[in-house]
Amino acid sequence: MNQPVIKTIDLSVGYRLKNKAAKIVGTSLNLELHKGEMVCLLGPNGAGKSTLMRTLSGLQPTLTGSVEINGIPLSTIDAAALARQLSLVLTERIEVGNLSVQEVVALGRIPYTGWLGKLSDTDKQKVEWALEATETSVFRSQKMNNLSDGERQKVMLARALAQDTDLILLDEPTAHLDLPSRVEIMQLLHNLARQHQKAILLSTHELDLALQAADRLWLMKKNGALMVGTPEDMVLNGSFEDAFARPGFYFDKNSGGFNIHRHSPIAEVALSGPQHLVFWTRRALQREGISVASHSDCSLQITVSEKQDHITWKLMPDSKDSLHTTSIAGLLMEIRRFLS
Amino acid sequence: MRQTVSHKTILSGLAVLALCFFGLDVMLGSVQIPFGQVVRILAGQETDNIAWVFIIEKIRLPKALTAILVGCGLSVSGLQMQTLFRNPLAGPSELGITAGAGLGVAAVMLASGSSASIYAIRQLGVSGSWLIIVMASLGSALVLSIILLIAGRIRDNVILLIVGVMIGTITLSVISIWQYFSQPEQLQEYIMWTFGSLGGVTQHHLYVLTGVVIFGLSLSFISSKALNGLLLGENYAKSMGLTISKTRLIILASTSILTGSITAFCGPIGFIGIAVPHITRSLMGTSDHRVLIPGVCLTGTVLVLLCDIIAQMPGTQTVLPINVVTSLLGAPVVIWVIISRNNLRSSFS
Repeated sequence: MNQPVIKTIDLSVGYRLKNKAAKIVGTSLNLELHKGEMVCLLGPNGAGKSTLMRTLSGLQPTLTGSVEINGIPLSTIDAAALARQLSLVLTERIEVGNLSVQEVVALGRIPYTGWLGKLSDTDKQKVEWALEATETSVFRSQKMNNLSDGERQKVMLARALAQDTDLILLDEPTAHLDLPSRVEIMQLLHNLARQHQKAILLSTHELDLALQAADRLWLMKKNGALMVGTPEDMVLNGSFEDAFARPGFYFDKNSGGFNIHRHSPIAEVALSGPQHLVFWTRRALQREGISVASHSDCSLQITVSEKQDHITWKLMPDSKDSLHTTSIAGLLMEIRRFLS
Repeated sequence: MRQTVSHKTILSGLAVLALCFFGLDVMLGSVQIPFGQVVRILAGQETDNIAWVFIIEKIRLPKALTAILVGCGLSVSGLQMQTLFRNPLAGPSELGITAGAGLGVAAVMLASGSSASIYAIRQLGVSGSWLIIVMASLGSALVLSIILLIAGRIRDNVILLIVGVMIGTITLSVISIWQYFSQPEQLQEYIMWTFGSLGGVTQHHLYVLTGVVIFGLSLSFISSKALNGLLLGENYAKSMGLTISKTRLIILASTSILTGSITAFCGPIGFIGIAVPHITRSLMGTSDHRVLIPGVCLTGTVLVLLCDIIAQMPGTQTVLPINVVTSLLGAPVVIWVIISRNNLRSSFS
């Protein structure tokens, strides 16, 4: 395999408290990030995601161990050289109302321009490319304060791209965004990693998006341990659930999402029908505390079918006659009657 | 590239306006001198009245040139402070920097043994003016450093402003103690100084002040790239390879030198530093310092010249203190900034 873009060797991260004692949030971290790879750093609040991100980006010193960027220790790279290898996108909402999108993206060329910051032809090309790659070129001449939060964050990503670095670190870039913008940013990052051979590390709370988009996960636990793996491996070996487990909240390996409903069901039903209808019916049933059995030996059987856009649920209790409903609301009402 | 053209147009428009106001400022005053004669004097030709030559060459011309220096210096100081603190309400007089300069001036007088006034020091000639400039700049730097330290711990713009006002008050109190032990006639002179005056800068001092202001402006201009980087906040600026501590030091030096030297010679002139950057930003529609710095210089020049023309009260024998006029014009701008921004606590530019 190629040389990793960023590599940590027995790294401990943390911060100094007021009394000079070190508060360590992560120890013995041996991590690698390669070109063309998008890694999501996940973990509950307070696990130390931001501290790790700040340390990797050189904004905060390491406690022990070292970070290497393209094989060179981070501590020996001067700020100007580092800026050509590593760019950042931060959570903070920046307030530069008077700058246009293009001007903000052009600021990404600061590490390459002369003392006055005049853009060369190469600089202009890079800015243009960054605008295209992030689909922000349509509002290039708009002022930043006319943009939505999602558009702003895309512009900040374009700025990072213009900086033309192998490595892009993003600290919770989707924190203030609505769902479509979050999906869009994740897709963009995934494409950038693949098509332009960027090494991308982002910390996020978007578990389901991270599971879908990330090539690998860095999973940080409260105790400072960090697990690395492909998303699917981490789901199947249970470490994903482990990191986020709470009472009354579990990870459903069937749906790939977290389930907020209780473990012990009040009743069991059998359910059959087309896959997508079964999926949504099961969700509704789970909310009612009813689990779907894998066997058909139940006192209540439900079949769901779809004909010409009409969905029908057929309830077949052993004791009574079967019933038909045409909506989930109707189905739930009938089941409640049946159970009472 | 349409934008650069329009920036150039605005800058040339401002330059023409500045030139007109400069001419007007030289022309108008309590003594009426015919237009033709003013032109003749400026061209170095003979005139009918020798007193007119004196008035133009020794009074009006230095005063108008001082107005340019004040307009450029204070406006650039204000612009730098607003970017550095990421605070639209930052300015030399608002955060107590001019008060710090006043303290420096007062310190010179205390050290010299006699509680001499600023006018007495001016009589010392060139070496005396250097002494004042250095001390006033140090006083400004002292207050600015304290506020920078505090700004590192406070993210709220309004609270920082209140802290700045308080530090200004402390500084002024120290000066008041000194005033309390001064002679009544010196007090009167000090109070005259606080009104601000563009007229007290005579020829030799003008050379010194010009040199110092040009130096301060150059410091500012070479940091324009760093100032642009700082618009995105310190973390982004750092990630783009800018050395924040170095940039901060240069901006601190430039602001202190500009505010210190101007305040030492002309007294505390309020509101130019805070108002001009806002006027220029909305005029030019950009936050790019490479354009803004020349922009605020020209706008500042126009505004201070206009204030000086108004202060002359053309056609009358009365002359208003310049500080009164700048406050009358500048304070409404600040109110406009406060009203037009609903998110003043955390926003910038």
